[in-house]
Amino acid sequence: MVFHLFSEKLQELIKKKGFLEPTAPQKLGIPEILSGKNVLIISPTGVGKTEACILPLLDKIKNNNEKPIALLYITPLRALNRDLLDRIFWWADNLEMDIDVRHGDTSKKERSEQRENPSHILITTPETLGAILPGKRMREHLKNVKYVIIDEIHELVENKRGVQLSLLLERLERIAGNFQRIALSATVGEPNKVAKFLGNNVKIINADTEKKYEIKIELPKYKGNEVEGRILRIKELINQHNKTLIFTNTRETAEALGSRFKLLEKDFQIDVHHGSLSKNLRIKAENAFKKGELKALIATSSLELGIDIGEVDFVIQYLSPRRVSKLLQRFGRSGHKIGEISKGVIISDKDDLLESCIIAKNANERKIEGIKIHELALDILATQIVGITLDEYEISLEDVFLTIKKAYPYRNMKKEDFISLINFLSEMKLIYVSEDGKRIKRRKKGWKYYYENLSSIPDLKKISVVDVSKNETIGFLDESFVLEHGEIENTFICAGSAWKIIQIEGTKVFVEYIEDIDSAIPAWEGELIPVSFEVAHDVGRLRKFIYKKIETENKNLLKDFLIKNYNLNEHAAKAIIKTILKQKDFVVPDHKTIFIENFKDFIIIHSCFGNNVNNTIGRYIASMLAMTKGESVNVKIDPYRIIIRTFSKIDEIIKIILNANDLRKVIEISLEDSSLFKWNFFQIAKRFGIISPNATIDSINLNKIINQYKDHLVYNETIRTILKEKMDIEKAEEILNQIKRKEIRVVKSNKKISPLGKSGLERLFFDVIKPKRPEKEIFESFKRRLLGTRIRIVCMNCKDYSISIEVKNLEEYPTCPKCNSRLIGIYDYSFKKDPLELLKKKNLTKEEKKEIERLRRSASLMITYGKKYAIVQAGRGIGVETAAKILSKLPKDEESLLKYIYEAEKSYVKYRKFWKL
Amino acid sequence: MILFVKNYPCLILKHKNKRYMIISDLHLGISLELEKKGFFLPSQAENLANKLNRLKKITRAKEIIILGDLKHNIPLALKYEKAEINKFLSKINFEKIILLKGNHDGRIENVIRSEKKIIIPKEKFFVIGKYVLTHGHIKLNKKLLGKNIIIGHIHPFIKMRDKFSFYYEPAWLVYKDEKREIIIMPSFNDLCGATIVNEQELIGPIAKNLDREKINVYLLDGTLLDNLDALWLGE
Repeated sequence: MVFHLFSEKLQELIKKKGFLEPTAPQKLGIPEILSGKNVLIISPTGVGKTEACILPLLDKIKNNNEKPIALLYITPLRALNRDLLDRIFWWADNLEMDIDVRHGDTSKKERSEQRENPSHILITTPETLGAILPGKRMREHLKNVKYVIIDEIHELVENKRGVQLSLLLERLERIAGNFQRIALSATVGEPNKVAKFLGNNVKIINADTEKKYEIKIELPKYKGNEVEGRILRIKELINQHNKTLIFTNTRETAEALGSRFKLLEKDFQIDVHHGSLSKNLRIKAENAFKKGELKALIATSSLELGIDIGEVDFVIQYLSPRRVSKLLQRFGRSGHKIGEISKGVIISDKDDLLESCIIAKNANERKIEGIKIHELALDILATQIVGITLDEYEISLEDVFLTIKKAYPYRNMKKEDFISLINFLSEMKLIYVSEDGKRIKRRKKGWKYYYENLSSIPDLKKISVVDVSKNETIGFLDESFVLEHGEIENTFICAGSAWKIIQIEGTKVFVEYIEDIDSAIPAWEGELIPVSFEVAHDVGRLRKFIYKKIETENKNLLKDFLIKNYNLNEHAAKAIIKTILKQKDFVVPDHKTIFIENFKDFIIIHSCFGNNVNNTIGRYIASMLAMTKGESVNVKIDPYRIIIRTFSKIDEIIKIILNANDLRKVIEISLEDSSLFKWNFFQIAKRFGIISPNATIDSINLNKIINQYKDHLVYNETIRTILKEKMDIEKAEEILNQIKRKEIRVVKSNKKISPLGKSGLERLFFDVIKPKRPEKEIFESFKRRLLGTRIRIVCMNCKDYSISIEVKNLEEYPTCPKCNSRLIGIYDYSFKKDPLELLKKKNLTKEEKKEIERLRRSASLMITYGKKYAIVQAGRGIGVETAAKILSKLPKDEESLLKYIYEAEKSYVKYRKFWKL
Repeated sequence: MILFVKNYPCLILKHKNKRYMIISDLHLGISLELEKKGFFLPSQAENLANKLNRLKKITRAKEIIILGDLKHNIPLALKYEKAEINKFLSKINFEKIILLKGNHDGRIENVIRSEKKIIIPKEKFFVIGKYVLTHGHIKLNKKLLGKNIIIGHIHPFIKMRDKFSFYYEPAWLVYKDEKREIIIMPSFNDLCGATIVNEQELIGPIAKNLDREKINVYLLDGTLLDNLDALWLGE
């Protein structure tokens, strides 16, 4: 048994604690850790993985009599530290070792105590490690670090916090020399990537095989209100169990559920726990739940991590968990004891039933989403390079370069990109570069910048929307929405009505109710985590399977099959079949079938490719439309649909899809003007020191800043971040190619809206894609101007009729009221003389002769083309010749005539460096 | 004759075989104002000087006339601003620089430390052929008012909207009646604030009270939109 590998003292303690048999992670992990290897342990929570790594390290520290700080224990969440402390403390205390916790809230007194008398073990967060590294005294103690444990590493690998940690570890290594790296992770899709992220020669220990999940999927039956039906069912489930955790996907939903329960039964023992609540409220809820004062706790991701809330015997996921990894973590919170089965229910709605089925099935088969690591993030690197100068005062550029390249996300760093970042930091006065350009040195401004930017988590402010007429808060907007649309007079939809912005003050937007809901933009709030391509694709495949079965099989058999295979309640199975049956009258979109339909000014493209691929294709289509039409387009995506608000025809969309090309370029161009870009730029520019952390959102100034930094590092980093987090260009291109090769078919319908289309329209969160220039509007003003142009017409026959008239008021073929002749000429206004006088004059000058000749020619064109000619010659810089050329193209109606004239006006300035009035 | 440089807030005045480049409203030092709000920018002097030198190559103009507001902060130029102004002046390659003082340029003479030929006319205007050039914040006498006039000062932008979005584009305003024309230039520095000319009144003794119907609005690329009255969105 592995426990025999320990010192006698530790073996005694293990006996005392009552550990008889090592758990899987302990059995597999302990020998590897004792042997000094870098180790990644993958296992669900509650199987003693903390002990698996802590015990061998404590034993080593004890036996080798290592100096403090010997062990750094890094966790992503502060709240985690207190519980861990309790757990580890028992072992450390009995082995006569000290332990300390250090994070942002640690008091000054404690911090100075830690500086004077460091402990063997320090529990901290990535950000706090960043904060203590430059400290002179702390660095003395950090020299002794021999072991680093990273807990819950799956929470870090995919975001910029993790990227920052990878650099921090390399900085630590410059101080402490080589140390043993150990990481703990929940079940992840690509353990190899996580291992590489951790360090070199990492041994992966997969101790996940034991855990079993029993997940039911229910669509509660209801009378009347659907949400109420779900709530009643949740209540029933809570009452059947001792302690239930309920997970929601957003804070808003958590709050809404909580208040619904209170409405239902005032004293129901339930509370809410999420990241926007104060620390006190959260701890209160945790403790109440732990003690059993609460029967249920509604939470968001805030409780996914291993916060100790005692035993949980049941987990409810409210609506689809959207990701397999989420489901595993959330349901892993029940049946915490070794060998117990994790039990729970997904309370689904009609639209995400199939998704819940696929995710639950994939969870049991451990088919988990892949890992996406940010590569070469320059904002994080900027802060860390400044950090290195603070650690070491002065350092050669070559050393810095080699150090950062050791971190996995920067292994492909190019020297020239590195140098341009160094130059930028020097321009910003954050570091000094030596004259020969070979060394960098710390600079005063660097301190402030570094400490302001340790946190790479964007702080999300909520802006309240206040109805001026009632002085009442009607809802909340994301700061990012306000950034894009927060301009006085803009209109948006919130709480089901349209509002006009009257005033913006700090974190409040004052609005006024308006009738016109059509032109308002829906405000999008709290974004949902993306559903992967694989899950959405599998949902499509399942749709197809069910559709085929409906055609060929008995529906009851099919229902029973679904119930058994996907652990559904009967109502859910029936609803699935019913939806597909109804959809069958249109087209059932699946993984190989894209279905496009049209409803009012919405075009709905059903595409089962997940959020990121749909976002990529959706933005591409919207950008192409905005560009060709010259007006803004609204687009919205979900994992199964792309919805575009435009008056374009389905065939135009199909044409864009079939001719899709150069996705990255087109998307990059339109991204620049999007709220997505501005919001990310705002965050990233802060990390580059271009925007101070205290700056308030100000869309006018932000636009100016963006313009100034075009093609700059910060700009490129913004694009890179968005493409990484929100898009999947490679996969989207693959899909578009499959469409071109007809491996995926595209089917359209002009019938009224299908059931799947309708449910896509129910949640209206759109983003605006703008053209570079509002061509359509420019064209509209051109049209107004042209048709409003005043001309003077003259009868060339009787030479006795001449009036001034706006072009638009001219008859199709004007005739002279005096002599009925159609020989009507258009007089040149710049010619100051009265036309009738001119026509009667004898002894004409050369110029006057020319003008009369021009009048004659215009009269003959009027006979042929009538009003059309008058319109054309009103164009700017269009002479008789150009006019004749345009008219000979025989435009079919006035609109296309106007387009020809518009083009002619444009070509007048097109190839010149200069233009004239 | 007047040539507008396509896609730039810049025009060329041709007179007796000479080409004068005319720009307006540089507001060097404006980045200090943004810095107070927490936005940091690279040196404007360098960017704007580079832009001007590129324009010089395109237009082959040898002399430049700046229609005022070279500096930004009032009343005094801050240290950074002084450095910016002198950096800017040293970087631009014109044989002759004429600066017509704007409302932000009080005591600019004390700021400038340049060996170049810089002319700052006391009367704050300058006449070339049929045109009077001035910033636009001072009154002109009757005789001058009867001539064609080119001014800055206003930083005109035009607002457009379509179904889901607003757009703001810098614009040239050209007023024309039987006797004369008045050209109002967009600002050369895009960090400046703006007058939304189809919502807000034009300011300054020359532009104020002009008949909107007689003002044509052009985009930087030379697109003629319409007259200002037809484009009017305000009350």
